[in-house]
Amino acid sequence: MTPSCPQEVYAAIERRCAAARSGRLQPYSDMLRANILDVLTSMFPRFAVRRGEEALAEDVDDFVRNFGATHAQFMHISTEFLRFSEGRFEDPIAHTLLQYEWMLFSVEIAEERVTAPMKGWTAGSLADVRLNSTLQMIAVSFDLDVGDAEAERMVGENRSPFVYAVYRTPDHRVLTQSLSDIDISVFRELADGEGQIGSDDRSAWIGDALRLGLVEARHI
Amino acid sequence: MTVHGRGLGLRREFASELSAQDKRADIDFLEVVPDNWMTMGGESVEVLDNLAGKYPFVAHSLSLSIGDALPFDREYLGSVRSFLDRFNISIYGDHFSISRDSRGYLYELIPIPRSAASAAFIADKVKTVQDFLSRRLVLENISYYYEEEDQMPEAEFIASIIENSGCGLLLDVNNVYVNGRNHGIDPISYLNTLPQNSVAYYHVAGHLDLPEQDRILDTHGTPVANEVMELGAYAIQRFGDRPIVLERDNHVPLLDELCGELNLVHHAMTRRVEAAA
Repeated sequence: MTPSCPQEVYAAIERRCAAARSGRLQPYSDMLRANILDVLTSMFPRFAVRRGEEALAEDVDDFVRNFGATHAQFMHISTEFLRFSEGRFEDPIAHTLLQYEWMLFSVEIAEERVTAPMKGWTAGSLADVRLNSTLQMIAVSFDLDVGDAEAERMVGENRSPFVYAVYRTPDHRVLTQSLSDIDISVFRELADGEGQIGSDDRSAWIGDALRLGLVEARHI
Repeated sequence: MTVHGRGLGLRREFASELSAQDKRADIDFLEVVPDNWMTMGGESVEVLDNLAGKYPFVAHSLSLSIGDALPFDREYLGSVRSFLDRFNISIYGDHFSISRDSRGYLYELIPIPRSAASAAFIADKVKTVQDFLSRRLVLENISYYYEEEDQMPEAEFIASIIENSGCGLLLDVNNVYVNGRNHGIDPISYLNTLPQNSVAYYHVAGHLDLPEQDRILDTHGTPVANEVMELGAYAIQRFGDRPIVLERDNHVPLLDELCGELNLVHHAMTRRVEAAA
């Protein structure tokens, strides 16, 4: 059991940390902000550019001053910032880029092991494959490959969403793959387990999906 | 698993390269930061598993926050314990610092307000963490850039915690030097205040001199200064020939160059005890 902290010790620690958060304990106040900013600009480069230097500095200051981060590890600063940002950004493009770039990180460190099919193996039906164990999907209102001006136009058009899969390959590359309606439909079958009973003719789709790494072989 | 000799702080910048090489004769062990590797999959796991087959590890974390006023973070420490068990690591520690308040984590090593009461509280807290981990904690003296009047001198503060908790000291020689310069503390007196049998291993690193601000910064971004190696040689005379870890976190040079520096620093710090033997 952790010993209880004497009141004067507790007060001194809280006072010092509050000063660091508020900007009154230099150079620590600047160091806290620099650490967060450094993580955001390196892990969320597109979001950081879209948000702009001044707004991002304000976000960081607000994060340091007011947010209660619960993950101890420095590498989860990005996760904490995502939590902090919920409902914060009016700009849908900035919000989407943040979610997408966090997803890239999340997939990169996912603990699941991705396996490659044995050489020469081919799948006969959907029952022979499963979704890549690291795969996550994101639906966004613009094409992730276009620049800001085009993205703004697409968002304004209110068209049907662009759907992507983000996943890690057996050789540890993190990929983003645009998904078609057929892809999504088959993914749903796989997720629902329907692929296990189906006698289907999806060999072309399965071959492509295996080549891209979207699915893994069940024989592993 | 015990370690000796020359250790390198493992960085992502060269982890894959080191993993792909045969065991190097110029590195005896690696210091890993569990925070950067645990609860992760993908390439990190493969690299670390591979390195663990070649080098013994010591572990040195960043987020224990032993100086804060709160119950320790069981989820975090549970992950650390699993990591230590998985890689058979017996030497584990963190810093004499705070990185959390009642609101949450701050992601920085903030100096602890030093008093007899806080030293006693931390000593008790160290014991609970040691019980949880089934290992002795090894805590590092940090560099600090803020000082209040009427605080307990740092060396006395650390000595008190060590004596009352049984924890070990990770003596960061560069931090002793940096704090000595920035706060007008005699580094030899500082070292002489610390318990003689307390040092588990040493850290050395480079610092940045900022004469216009009349201070130096512990940057881990430059080669180790001669003055730090001299101080390290004194520390080894006083505390004994313990493992030495070179830290380099910024402007990381090529691996061969880094290993060259590790060996140079190790030789400079141990030559007196070697000559006397």
